[in-house]
Amino acid sequence: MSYILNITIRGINMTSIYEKIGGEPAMNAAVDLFYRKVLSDDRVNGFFDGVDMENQAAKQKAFLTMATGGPNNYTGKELREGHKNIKDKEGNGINDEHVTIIIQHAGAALQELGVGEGEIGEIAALLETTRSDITNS
Amino acid sequence: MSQLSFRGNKYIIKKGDTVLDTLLGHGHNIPCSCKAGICHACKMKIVEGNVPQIAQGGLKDTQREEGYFLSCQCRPQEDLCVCLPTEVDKKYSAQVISLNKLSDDIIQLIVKLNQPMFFHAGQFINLWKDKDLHRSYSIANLPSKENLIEMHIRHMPKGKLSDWVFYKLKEGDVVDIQGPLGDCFYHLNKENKTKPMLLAGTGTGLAPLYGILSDALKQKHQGKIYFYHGALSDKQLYFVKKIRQVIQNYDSVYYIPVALKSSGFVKDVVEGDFDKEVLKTTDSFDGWNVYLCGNAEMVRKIQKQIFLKGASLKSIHADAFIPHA
Repeated sequence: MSYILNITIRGINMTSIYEKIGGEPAMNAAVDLFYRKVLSDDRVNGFFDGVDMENQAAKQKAFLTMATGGPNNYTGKELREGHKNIKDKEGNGINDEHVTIIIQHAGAALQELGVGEGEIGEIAALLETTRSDITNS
Repeated sequence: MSQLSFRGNKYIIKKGDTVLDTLLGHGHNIPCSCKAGICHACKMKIVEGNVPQIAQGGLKDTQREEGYFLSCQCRPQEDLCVCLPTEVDKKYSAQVISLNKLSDDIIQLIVKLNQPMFFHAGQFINLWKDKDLHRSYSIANLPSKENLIEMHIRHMPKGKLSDWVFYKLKEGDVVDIQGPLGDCFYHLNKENKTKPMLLAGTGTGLAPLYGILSDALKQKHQGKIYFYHGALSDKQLYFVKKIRQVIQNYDSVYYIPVALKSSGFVKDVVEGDFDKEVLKTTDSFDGWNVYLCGNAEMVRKIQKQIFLKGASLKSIHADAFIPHA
């Protein structure tokens, strides 16, 4: 089974990093690292209170799979819908700073998995294009 | 071309189509989202047949063993019969063998099935009061030749089913049982056998954990096992003597009863917050298999903390009990 090696997402050509770092099994490891970083960070973990962790992990895996150019069906519309009503305990929505923090955590998790700096840069650039959908702006 | 059976219908699976494509194409409302094998929303269960390995990618070992698969990733090579995970429709008739009070508000119900059911201790069944009302209860015992099922039932205030069990049900009565369901059980393989295990539960969360403990001991589990049972007061703890007896010949099995307040009713009970005591087990849960059962809030709280202390999410089996009136 091989995944598409060369795909273009939102105008950015991703030579599939997903494939290179080991596909689906690597994503499982990445999710544990990424989610743990997010939950440990008081600046963003308020958005994750009371969620079902297994469901959330599945979504995070989809997010990282998309970010690394793996098989996904995510569209801007889904990202926008999915993040629209998310609020922390004080009723605040997701802002630009939160998105930046999440992108940094995704980068750090991939770095721990041995993904190179150049590739992490490409991934971060792709994630940047989702910013307005996530902050609903 | 292979044939797909679902809810009594038979469909031909077109070349290249998945189980999900086929069922959606015939107007069935199957939950799904990403259609890329990631979100797991379209998870289904095998009733008969085999699925390609890729259709079980990303699932927990216990889910694979129970025949779960992702319908969006499944292009069967042979005839297949499937159902939704909630549709396990096999019902068994069972006779009440005994009803024993384990504490002020918990009763042990043992029933004998009219035919063998293949289950793992720790899975759950639905107990039906009549054709309209059922509740889910975990299985506390190992499968046996006698076809017995042991449940621990807590009396809920105004609980329709628990009122019936506490005040009406008697030895010899016949009830309906449906199952088995769930993936909270001891999964035996070479790797798991030596891994340390944490079993932690509150209230009747003890039932599945006691089942899993029995299974692990029977399978000669080699890693350490820590078994925590929590309650508000030590008077609500039960099976204390029984567990101490069961584990007395094992050097690597530890039983820790925890109560928020102790009245001296139970010997050697640890007084304190359940979650804090459980987290004291080790500095890192990396490489552990973890089973958490009972009070939903407590289960989620501990699940999060254990994950932050290094356990992989895939190795944490959380069975949060949602109370019903």
